[in-house]
Amino acid sequence: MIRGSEITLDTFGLEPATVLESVVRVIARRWPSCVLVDAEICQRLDSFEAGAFGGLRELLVFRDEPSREIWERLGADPDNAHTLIYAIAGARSVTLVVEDPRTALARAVIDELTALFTNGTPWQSWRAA
Amino acid sequence: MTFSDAQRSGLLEVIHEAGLGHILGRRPEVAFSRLEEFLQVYAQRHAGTPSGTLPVVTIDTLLEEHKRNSHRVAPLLQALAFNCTANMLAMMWMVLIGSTIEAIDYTYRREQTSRIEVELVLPDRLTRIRFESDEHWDLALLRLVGISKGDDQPLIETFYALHIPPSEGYARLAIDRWTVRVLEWVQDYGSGSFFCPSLIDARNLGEVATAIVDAVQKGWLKPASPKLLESVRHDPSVVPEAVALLSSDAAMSVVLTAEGKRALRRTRFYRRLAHASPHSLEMVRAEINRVLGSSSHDYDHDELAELEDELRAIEALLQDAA
Repeated sequence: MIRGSEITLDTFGLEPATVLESVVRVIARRWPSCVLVDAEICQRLDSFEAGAFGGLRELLVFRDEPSREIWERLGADPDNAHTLIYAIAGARSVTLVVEDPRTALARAVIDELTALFTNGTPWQSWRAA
Repeated sequence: MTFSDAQRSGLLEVIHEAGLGHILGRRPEVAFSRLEEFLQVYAQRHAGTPSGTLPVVTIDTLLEEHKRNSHRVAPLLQALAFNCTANMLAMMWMVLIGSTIEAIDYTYRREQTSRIEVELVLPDRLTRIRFESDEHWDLALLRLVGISKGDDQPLIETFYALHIPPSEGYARLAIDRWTVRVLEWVQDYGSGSFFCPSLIDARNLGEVATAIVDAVQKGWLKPASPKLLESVRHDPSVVPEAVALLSSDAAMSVVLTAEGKRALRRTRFYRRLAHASPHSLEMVRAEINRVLGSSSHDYDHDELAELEDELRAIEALLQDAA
């Protein structure tokens, strides 16, 4: 649905809901006003706290509300470059779709999530060894 | 504050689903009382925060949250099982629903001090709140933190549930070469027949078909393919297809319920006899005697020897009990 590159990270059995919450926490530090949308049903989550992550598998994280509006209106467009990260969580991995994985933000998010899933969570991360 | 029967029953389900049935489920009153304490402390700390910053938490909202976000409730219950204090559980819940951990200070002096202090920033990103504890068990919180680095700087974002292996020692099973009969299922799941997919072959297709249907009815097996299960019910010849589905590890994790997995893991004879009731032991003894006395069993020499050992152990236990 968006142009970009797919980066797949091993999640070592961490359940998808926990993975997607982690993705949001990591992105939200860079994009504090980010907007979350359940990509499967195109429904916006009211907030992190009120969001039902339990059944979530695909999540769109927009940088902010104006970015989401532009995406909705124009789709992929130079005006909204680098303002969306699309996360798809599976049983053993999460795929992040980013416009350009070489940007500082994308790199930082990918590195942080890789470190977290590989070494930082108590859930089966020993399998990384 | 006391929980209603419905709330207690809901909590027990949540405790079992979180894999803590063998820890908290054995002493539910303790777990309920500590949850009540957590709710009270959370309410006190919540009252000191700006209105609307944090949600009110009751036992009903907690049960509701489990339906929507079970991954948030699991680490909270694990911390409760680790004997963390209500104060720290309140802190943990605030983090799990979106607060940020700003600082953790821990001091330990052997036989003197074990002090943990945590500072949070609430979801409004303005309000700071501090939690302190001198209870050594609260150190267990650090088992659950997610450790990361952002821009090469240290970060602790939230708490994650530990992987807790399924509990052992609740089912007493009688296993012959192809089928597993549950003699006693201690966790109130009833009893009945079960099966071991890796040991199924053409000789027992009919029994397997029945076992699959039984297992589904008992809730040990989730019908990943309801159509297939419906076919099995009416036509045992499709069992190999079901067996193939169940035999792959990947399918197994999807298909079997937690209870089913527990049953499946018992691939040897009668386990944990020391914990069995005399009634259960007598059932096991009768089952072993039936096998030993039958000429049509499928046990090899070693297995029969093992059965005889089991029988001797059971006789000794029954004698002790008497």
